[in-house]
Amino acid sequence: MLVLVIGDLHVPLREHSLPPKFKKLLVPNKMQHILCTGNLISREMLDYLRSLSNDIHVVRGDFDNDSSLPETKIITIGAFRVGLIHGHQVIPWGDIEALELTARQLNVDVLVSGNTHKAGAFMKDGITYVNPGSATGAFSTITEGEIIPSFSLLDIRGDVIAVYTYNLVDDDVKVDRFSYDKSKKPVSQ
Amino acid sequence: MAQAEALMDSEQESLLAGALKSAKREAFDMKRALDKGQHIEAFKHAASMLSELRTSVLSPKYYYKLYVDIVDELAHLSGFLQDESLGETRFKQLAEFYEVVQYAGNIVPRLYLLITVGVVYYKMDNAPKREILHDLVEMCRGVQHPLRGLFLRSYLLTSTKELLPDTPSGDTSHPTGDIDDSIRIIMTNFSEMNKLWVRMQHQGPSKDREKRERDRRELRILVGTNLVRLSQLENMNLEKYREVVLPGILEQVVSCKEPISQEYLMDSVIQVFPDEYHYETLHEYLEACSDLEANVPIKYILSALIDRLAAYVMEKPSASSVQDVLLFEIFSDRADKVIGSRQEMPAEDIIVIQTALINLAIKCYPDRTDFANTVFGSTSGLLKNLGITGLSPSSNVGKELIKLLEIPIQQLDDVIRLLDISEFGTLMSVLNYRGRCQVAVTLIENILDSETQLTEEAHINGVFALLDVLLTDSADQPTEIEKDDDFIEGQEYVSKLIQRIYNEDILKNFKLLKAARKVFGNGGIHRLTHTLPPVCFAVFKLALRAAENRDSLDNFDAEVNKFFMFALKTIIALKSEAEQGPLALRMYLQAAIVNDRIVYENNEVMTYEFISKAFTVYEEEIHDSREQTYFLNALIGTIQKTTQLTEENYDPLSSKCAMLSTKLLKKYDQALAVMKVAHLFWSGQIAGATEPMHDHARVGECLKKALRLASQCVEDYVQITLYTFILNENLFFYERGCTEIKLENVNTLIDKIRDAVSQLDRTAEADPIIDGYNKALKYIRTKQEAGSGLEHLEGVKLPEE
Repeated sequence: MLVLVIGDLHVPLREHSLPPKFKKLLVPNKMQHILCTGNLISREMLDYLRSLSNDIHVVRGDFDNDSSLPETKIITIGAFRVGLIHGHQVIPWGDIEALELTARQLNVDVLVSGNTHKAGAFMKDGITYVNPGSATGAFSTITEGEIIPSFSLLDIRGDVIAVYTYNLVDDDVKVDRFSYDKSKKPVSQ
Repeated sequence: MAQAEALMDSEQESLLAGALKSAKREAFDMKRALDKGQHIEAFKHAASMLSELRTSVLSPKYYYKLYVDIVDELAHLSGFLQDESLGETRFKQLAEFYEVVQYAGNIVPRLYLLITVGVVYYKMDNAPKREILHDLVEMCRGVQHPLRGLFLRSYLLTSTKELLPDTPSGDTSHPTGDIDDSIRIIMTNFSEMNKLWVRMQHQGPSKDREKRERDRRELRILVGTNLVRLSQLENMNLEKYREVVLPGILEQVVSCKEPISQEYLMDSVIQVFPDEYHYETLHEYLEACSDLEANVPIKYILSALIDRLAAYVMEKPSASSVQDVLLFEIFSDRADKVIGSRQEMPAEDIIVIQTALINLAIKCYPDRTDFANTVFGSTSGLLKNLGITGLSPSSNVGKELIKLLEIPIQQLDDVIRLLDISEFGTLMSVLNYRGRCQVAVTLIENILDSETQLTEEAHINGVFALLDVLLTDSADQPTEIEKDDDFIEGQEYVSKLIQRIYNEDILKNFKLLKAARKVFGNGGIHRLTHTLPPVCFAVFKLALRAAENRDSLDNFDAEVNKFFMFALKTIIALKSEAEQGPLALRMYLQAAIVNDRIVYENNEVMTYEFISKAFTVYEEEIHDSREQTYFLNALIGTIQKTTQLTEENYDPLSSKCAMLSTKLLKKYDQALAVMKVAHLFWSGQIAGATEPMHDHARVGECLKKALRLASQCVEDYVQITLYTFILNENLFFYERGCTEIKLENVNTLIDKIRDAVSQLDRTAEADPIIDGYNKALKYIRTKQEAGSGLEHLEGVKLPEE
């Protein structure tokens, strides 16, 4: 089961589109689900994501005006309860311990969050944390330095979850991989 | 109409079938006679067969089918004539045959036979070649019926293909002459065929005119083959083309005064002969264009020619001749004359021609923006003379005009160079609102795709002038524009465009942003929403860039302060002029964080200002309870992120958060919010501190408050969920050593939850709540098993199983 995890696009106020190399990679109907951390912002971006997969979940980012979007969402995929939240509600922003608290509050195995525009994936105490960063490399007030455009792909098969993080560095797409087997004793980092 | 035609078709089919049957019978007899050596008999049968071609009842399409079959049978005869044994006998025989066939009764069969025999006779040595060729060409004049004459002459042309001399002028090696003679023969054939073809137009009643024109069009290739034949002559060269061939063709074209013929032949000339010839004879060709009939679609002829020559000039390897540079001027000049001479030329046609000219100008002379300007200028003038304004993109003229405008955008691929075409804007204004929007969006798309940057004020002014339709109200824009999807799309493009404003020099960059902001100020309430935020973000980025290059600025503190003052004013306008309170709130918070990140004199004054303005918007405009929770999170998160506020400034802000959290409508939301504020008091940091403040007392207060609020919740599910949250928060602060979290309170809370859970009905709704409680217990257990001490939650009592 392939799940696209993407967000913090900030189109059109901060960026104008996804990098062309990412657009080429994102082919419709290859991914079963899409989890969007929010801050799209435009209708155009929502329609674009909808064109990639039928099952799309979006949560409200701090710049999304649409109040009908939920602040959190929990989706069961395979053996995993996946929580989706933008992250500006997690105080302090980007703090790992606060994220852990949130994951426990939401009672999930995987917590997907954004807000920091910094991609990353790790596992701690049996819970996997995924941040897809900003797919457009949008400006962030809270993260220093240049923002690298990024998004993540989850590959969930039964008890195993693999997280692929795609980064656009100097116009080259680099992929990092991380995986975790729920059925085994929690080990990997 | 279709029915009548179908009827005619089936009638024609049966007539054709009849004719073919007769022809085949005669052909069979002819072949039998030839086998028996009965030559005269054979010729008689051949003549009978050919008589079918005397018919007047078949339409061109069907006559053609008949012709093909009969000519096929004639090939047998031809083959026979060639196969006979060589020698004197054959020569004499052919001479005889040549005489005999001339006695055939009717002229059509007579001439077909004459050609068939004559061609074979000609190939023999000692044959009177000149005479034969002369005969064949001259005698065809005898058939003046258009359809029959055309096919006959076509047969002549194909049959004499190898006969015509193709030697250089003055070369006497060929008995019948040299290439000049061939040219003469083919040109004569061509003229005669064209005359016949034109005559068809005027035959018959006017009600059948459309059908006649259709029929004629099917025959055009017969006439065109003459031109092809000319181009195939090996010794054809530019000189002959210029001196003899082209003038002859053009004379015929112009003098026949018939549009279908003119259109086809002018186009054929361009297709058939090499571009080099056209390049060198441009004057003559274009002169003739002016003399064509009014309803010949000259736009296609001119465009095709211009496009071909543009491609030709581009591919020429050597340096351009003087002729090259003049090419544009010749065309431009001639196009003007042609357009001027045709009073009723529709605007659409004018634009098609101008489009070809623009392609020429931009592809072949990319540096001569004055050429492009000439084209645009004259187009504007021409349209003005026709009184054309407010063109819609759905009209033909509008479509063509938009295509014209988009050419330099795409081809130059650089808006800065586009600005040199000063007439661009004038021409653009001929379109109506939607048309102008379309071109404006194309322009922005090109800027984004080509990653062009606007680095000078001149660029901003120039580009914004062209994009005026998107930036300010136009007289012809629709009402209630803010509800129009296209309008919003256009505005989003403008938002994206702002990101392209950039200059290496930081102060210059700031000037550019101010210039842009000024223009946006005239946009009105519906546009400011889209234009002001990106300007702010650009200023934020600029400020951070400045912070990385402090030394490059003379008075860093003052300059950076100006940036943020500008941002402040812009956000104020966003709130008051654009009436976008919520958006302004968000922008204030963003501004606060960026400002706080940069160390400069008195920056905390600015940070405080931004945050307090955010609070003001919150209190004035955010009344919906869900929105309140949402924005309160943003406020708390922002304040937590600051590090430069002094205690006397930090305090009122954090207290305000605490106060607002208690003002939320639902108890549940209040509790969650106050727990977030706890984190503010724990992790927040003030100026001069190296560590977070860890305000134990206020954290304790917050959690106690949360507990009190939870106890006031009515629904048990909600209450238990809240208790579990509060438990988790308590554990969080306990394990980090918050002194105000008393162990007995934690344990009491655990017991409370356990009791409540045990009284729950086991429904599907209850499961996640119970699960949450169990997870919290599991967490405690895991921590305790891993070690001892506060961070391992020592002392927390797990309830009995």
